Amino acid sequence: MSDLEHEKQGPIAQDTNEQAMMPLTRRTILTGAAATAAAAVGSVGAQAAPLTPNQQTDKQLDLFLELSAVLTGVAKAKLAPGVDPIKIKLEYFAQAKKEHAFAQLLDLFSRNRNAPNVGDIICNKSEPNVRFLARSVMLMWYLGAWYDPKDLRRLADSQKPEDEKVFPVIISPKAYTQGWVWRVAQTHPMGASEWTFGHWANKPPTLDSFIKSA
Amino acid sequence: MSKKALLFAGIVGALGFTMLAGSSSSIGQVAGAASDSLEDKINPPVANCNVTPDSNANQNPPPSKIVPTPITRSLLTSGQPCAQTVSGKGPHGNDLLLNLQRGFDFYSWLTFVALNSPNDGAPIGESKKGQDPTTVWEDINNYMQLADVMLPEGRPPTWGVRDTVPPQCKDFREGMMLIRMTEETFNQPFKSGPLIDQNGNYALFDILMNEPMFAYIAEHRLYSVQGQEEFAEPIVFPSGSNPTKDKDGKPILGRMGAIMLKVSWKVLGDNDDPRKFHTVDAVIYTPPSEKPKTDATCVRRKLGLVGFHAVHKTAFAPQWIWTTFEHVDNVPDKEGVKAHKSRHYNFFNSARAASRTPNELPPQPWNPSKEPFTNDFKSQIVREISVTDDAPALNKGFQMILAGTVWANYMLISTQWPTDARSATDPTGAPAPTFLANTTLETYSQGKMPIASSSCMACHGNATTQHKPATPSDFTFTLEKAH
Repeated sequence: MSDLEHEKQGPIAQDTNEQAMMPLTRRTILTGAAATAAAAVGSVGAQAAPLTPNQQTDKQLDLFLELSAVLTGVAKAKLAPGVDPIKIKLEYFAQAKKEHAFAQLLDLFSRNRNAPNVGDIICNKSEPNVRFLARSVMLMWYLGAWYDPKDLRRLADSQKPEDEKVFPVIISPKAYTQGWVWRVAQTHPMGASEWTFGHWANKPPTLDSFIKSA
Repeated sequence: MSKKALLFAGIVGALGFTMLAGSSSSIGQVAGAASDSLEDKINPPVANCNVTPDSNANQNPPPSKIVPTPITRSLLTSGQPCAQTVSGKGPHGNDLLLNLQRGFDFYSWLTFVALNSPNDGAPIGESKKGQDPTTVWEDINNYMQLADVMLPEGRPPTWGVRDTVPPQCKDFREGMMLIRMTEETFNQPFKSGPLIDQNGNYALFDILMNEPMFAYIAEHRLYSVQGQEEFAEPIVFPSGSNPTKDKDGKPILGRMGAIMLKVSWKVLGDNDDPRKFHTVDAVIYTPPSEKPKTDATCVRRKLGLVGFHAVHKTAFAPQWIWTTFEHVDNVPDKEGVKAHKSRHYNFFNSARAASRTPNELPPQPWNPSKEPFTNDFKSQIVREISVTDDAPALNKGFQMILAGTVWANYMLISTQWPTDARSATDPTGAPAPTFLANTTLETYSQGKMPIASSSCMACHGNATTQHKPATPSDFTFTLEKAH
């Protein structure tokens, strides 16, 4: 085991320009992770073999993330990085899955995922149960809180929405810091910043660097 | 994109990470003879970097079955890693995070073994200097204590030279540990409080650094406030890197990069079995104080090692890699309190498990010159986050090859590393695990609560120089100690 592993790698491995390699490496990791999931699900589907419970969950999770990217405008690889130590996606997936309309929502998305107006189909042209669940999912990613779809529907239908009371639930402590509202605003939650001392004197990174894949 | 293309991308992705680990360039390395020369002076090439991977996953041709690297005694002489050698491929199949975490944990054990080997060059357990000799890092020619770097009046330090021993420390002899008491010696980060062992003694903390880290500080005169004021560039400590080859196939040596250590000790006393600890003969110097008025003192104590942070900056990890070990008898897991009712712990009393609230701060005042702690207070500490993933299995393997030595009584808690080291939006690099605490060094900030709980990178990302206005100090608080 004393061999140097890099000596056994191909020509790319001999590229010692780390700065040049870094974006490639990061991107390929993300792509690779997505490929692994997609290939696993795809191959089973192609043979029409029944999915195991784990594969069904993986497929649902993958669809859920794809749908979430459409609803939020944030790249899927940003919502759920290939190497993901935080795994907020699992908490959000579990939360959304509790709703009766969840399977219906995923099914609608699955059938329309390639349509140019898929967002419009889901958010505006679907049944109320599905439509308001989609809005809850969107709010969950942005605010880290769960707004009951029934409450959202009641608000939307109300003649006096300002009198309606809605009580969202913060999903978990980490959901607070993971809210996309902060990143879309190119800032950070109160009291929780990854930035180094003095960052406030500099311009924040671009919005694209927060929400788009590298 | 076809399925085949996606799979290829996945494989390249996994491989890419490994290649990255082997990359030779470092953050501070800039093209040009002058900067190369400075780099060589501060962070010279190293001939014997340990690049042992944690599995055979990246062998060429690819193995028919991925198997973990056998943990045998040969690892005790395999040397110190200059950087991580990790891969997204490994025993955990497609789980990149778990495979990479395992690689970093393996790297941590190799680092621990190398640093805690005898300073005479013998492998652990084979030194002629006895059963528990001075380690590599306790030798002032290899690591220097922070107090010997940040000297009074901002005097320039010299590598391998200890500051003047206080006259009160008449018992001090070369080879002993001299600990100079400051608040950081007994009080934890953010002044969150001291840790009191089951004999009522304060746990003691110390910080050390290796020569490349020292050299960077010395070269740029960062050992003084004035030097920091005059240094106008960003602080970028040198990085470790593994050996590699250039595009013509010419070998490029690795470099060790900056390493800092933070260790915790307990005073060995009643009910402690010194044979279970790595021990040092130490003198503890407490300077005089005005409030309350006290004279300088220096006492001799036998100390046992209870905690060990090793923090290594590498080309891959500008946020550094954060390794932490503990003595196996420190504390029980939160969930395991009832399972070990009669076990002896260094910082937990099993007999009082039902009556004491765990992880409470000692009452004020905190004065380490008065021992034992007043009113018979002893800390009652539990581990909030259990050691998980591969660490227990790696611990078992390494403890087996260390059997018969004191080092079999130490365990890896985890290794924090950046999953997205070059993130444009997260300078902490999305660390994994998100939270990491040593029960002796971050006792009161354990847990998984954002903001409140201990994350090495998130905390050290706030470190600054004493420049006015303050500037980031590259994930180390050591520069705050300059005079």
